[in-house]
Parts: sequence; structure tokens; C-alpha cells
Amino acid sequence: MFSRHFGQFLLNERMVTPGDLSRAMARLGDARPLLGILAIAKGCMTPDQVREVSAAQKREDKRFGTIAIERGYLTAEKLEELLSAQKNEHVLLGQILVEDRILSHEGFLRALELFREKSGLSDEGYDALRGGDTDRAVSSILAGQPGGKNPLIKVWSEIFVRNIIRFVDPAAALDPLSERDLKDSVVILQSMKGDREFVTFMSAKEPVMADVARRYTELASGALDEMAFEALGEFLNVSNGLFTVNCSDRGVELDLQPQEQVPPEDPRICGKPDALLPLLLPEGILWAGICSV
Amino acid sequence: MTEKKHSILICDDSAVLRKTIAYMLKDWGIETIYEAKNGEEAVELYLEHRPDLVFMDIVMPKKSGLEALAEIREKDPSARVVMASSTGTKKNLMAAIDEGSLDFIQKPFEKEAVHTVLRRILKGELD
Repeated sequence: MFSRHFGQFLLNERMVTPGDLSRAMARLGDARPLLGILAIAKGCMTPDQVREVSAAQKREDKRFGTIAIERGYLTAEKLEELLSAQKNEHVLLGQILVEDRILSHEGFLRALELFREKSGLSDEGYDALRGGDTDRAVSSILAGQPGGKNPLIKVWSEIFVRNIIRFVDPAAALDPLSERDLKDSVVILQSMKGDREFVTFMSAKEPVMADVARRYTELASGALDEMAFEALGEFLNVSNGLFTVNCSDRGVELDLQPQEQVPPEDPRICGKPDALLPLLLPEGILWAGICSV
Repeated sequence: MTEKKHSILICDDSAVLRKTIAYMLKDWGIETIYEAKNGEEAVELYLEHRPDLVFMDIVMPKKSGLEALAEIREKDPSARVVMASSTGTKKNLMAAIDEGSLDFIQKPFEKEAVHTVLRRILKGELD
């Protein structure tokens, strides 16, 4: 999921054009990871060292790893670690862009550093986001938010994100750089009452909501019609239902209230929610939030 | 596919859920399907058609699924009702069992779970 996220970042920073990005994304499935790019991404080698080893490889007919060890840039252990590392799509995306000469080795490294700097994520959060660890990525997004330390808020957030990945888009990504803009947003809201009281919502621009509905159920056509609103409400209801089960297991009983479509200026969602999750989907950002009342 | 022509009533305020279950049931050869979008309609349609099985959501407008279940079972103690809800909390589960629900399916539905419940309850009546 991080590849799309990283790709969007490159686009926002004008480091690539939409055409460059879509061509590179289309080739992701066929790309094989190159050790040099992986070593740069993992901070094991500098771009200069990678270029030097690549040039030597052409003359010496040896493997990249062998030369890098001979020259003291990698240890055998580090090489083993790189070789066994999971295939990270964002590294592959960077690799394709470097191969296509859209980014230099330095540009790729700078882009990774810039992303990390701008997202304000902790080392752990950055690694989680990069490695596709949903629950840890949620924790890193919640750090600093009002409900970041509340276990129920965290559980709700994890369930919501996992359901988006499960039912809507396996490549969905949390995007810590997004800025909330409620103007012209469609908002679906559901309250839960009982031992505690929560208001939950999801909001996005119309094309995003229509696309979420279509991906959730084949009954929705892709237009934001009555069936799409039904689907969006049902998605929130199902996600909240799983949350109430989780709460019940913890001794907190909650009842779901009917879902509502509300205007973006509804006071229940205008303040600062306990958790606010920006999910990057193909049509744009879907915001999901929960507030304790 | 069925030896006997079965009829099933689906009660859910979500049209998406009603259609999703209806398509599953049609795939399994069940052709007579009634749909209710609230608890009141559920009771009315049940008494009118006496279907073989009812899938009942809990959170519904006008009359909740648990209220509708109690009313249906009061008028027909042999009614076969499966609660199908996103709120599978202990409280709801116990209330559903108290009112005579035969089973409880947690949303989101897995097709297999619905089929298993269907086969178990209509045991010997389905292929």
C-alpha cells in the first residue's frame, strides 16, 4: 500500500509527472528488486557507492553483493538481510523511476528522506507504514491526536482501516500528509450509545464516496445514487458493528444508532475528533473519524 | 436444487444487505424471497406468508429485530428465525436466544456462514 502513497507524495512534490507515475505503477508487478536500490532505501549504501559498485560490476563480472562486500560497503550479514527483505513496492517504484532516469539515485534517497520529514512520523511509524503493518501504521497516525492513547479509539481505528483494506481497496494507504477539507464533502455519520457514547463518520468528495460504494458492493453503479448511500451507510454500520462486538468483549455495551447523511458543517464532525484517519484511495482521500461524546 | 419450494423472509433496513442475501439464496435455488425494511413490515410479511425461515437484522427503524422476533414467535412459536446483525454483542446475542432465535450470523456475511446456517436449519429439506 505504501507504493501508491509514496507515488502520490512524489506527484505532490512535483518530482514526477502523472504520466511518469502511472507508467511506473503499471510496471510494478513485473519489476524485480535491485540490490543497489534496496541498499539505498535501507540506508546501507550511499548513491555514490551504488554507482561505483554498478560500474565495477560491468567490468568484473561479479555479483553486486560480492563487490559491495569486497569494497567494505556491505557486510555478509547485511547482504543476507537485504536479500531476505520483503519485496517493498515503494522501493520498486523508486527503482523503476531511477531506471527510467526520472529520478537520480540521490533524488530517490532525497524523496524518501523528504517524505519521512514531512510526514512527521516516528521511526517506528514510518517503518510500519512502509511495511504495510496496518495496526502499527494506525498507531503512528493516532500519536498526537486527542484519542491517541484511548484503547477503544485505537480499536475502532484499526477495525475501520482493516475493513477498508478488506472490502474496499487492498492497496488503501494511510496518508499522514493530507489536509482535511470538508467543503463540498459527503458525510455519513453513525452514533453509538450505551455504556459510552461515540459519534463516527466517514467523509469525502463525491467521486471518492461513489467509488467506495462501488468497490464495496457490485450493487452500486459508481454514481452517487440511493444505492451508493445505502452501501456507504452499510459499510460504516458493519465496521461499527465489529467495533461493538470488540467493546462487548471488553465489558462495554454499545448500541448502534441509524446511519445519517449529514452536511459537512454538522457540529458533531466540525471539531477535532479523537481520531481522524486519512485514507488514500484511487479517487482521493476518504476521511474517517470517531469522537467520544 | 431444493426438494421442497422454500420461502425465506429477509428483514434488514439496508437494501444492500437484503439484495446481497437474496442473490445468495437465489444461487442456492430458493426462489420465493420476501423483503422487509423494518420490524413492522417483518411481522406483517411473516404473518401473511409464513415463510420457512426468517433472516432478521437487529437494528431497524419502527420496530427492532428483537421486538419483531418476539412478536412473530408469540403468534407462531414454530417460526424459524435467524438473527443476522452487525451488532453481535453479548447483550444482543442473549436477548436473541431468549426470544427463540435459532442462530446468529455476524455481519459482514461470509457466504459460507449463511449457507451453513441455511443447511443446518432446513436440514433434510435442502439437497
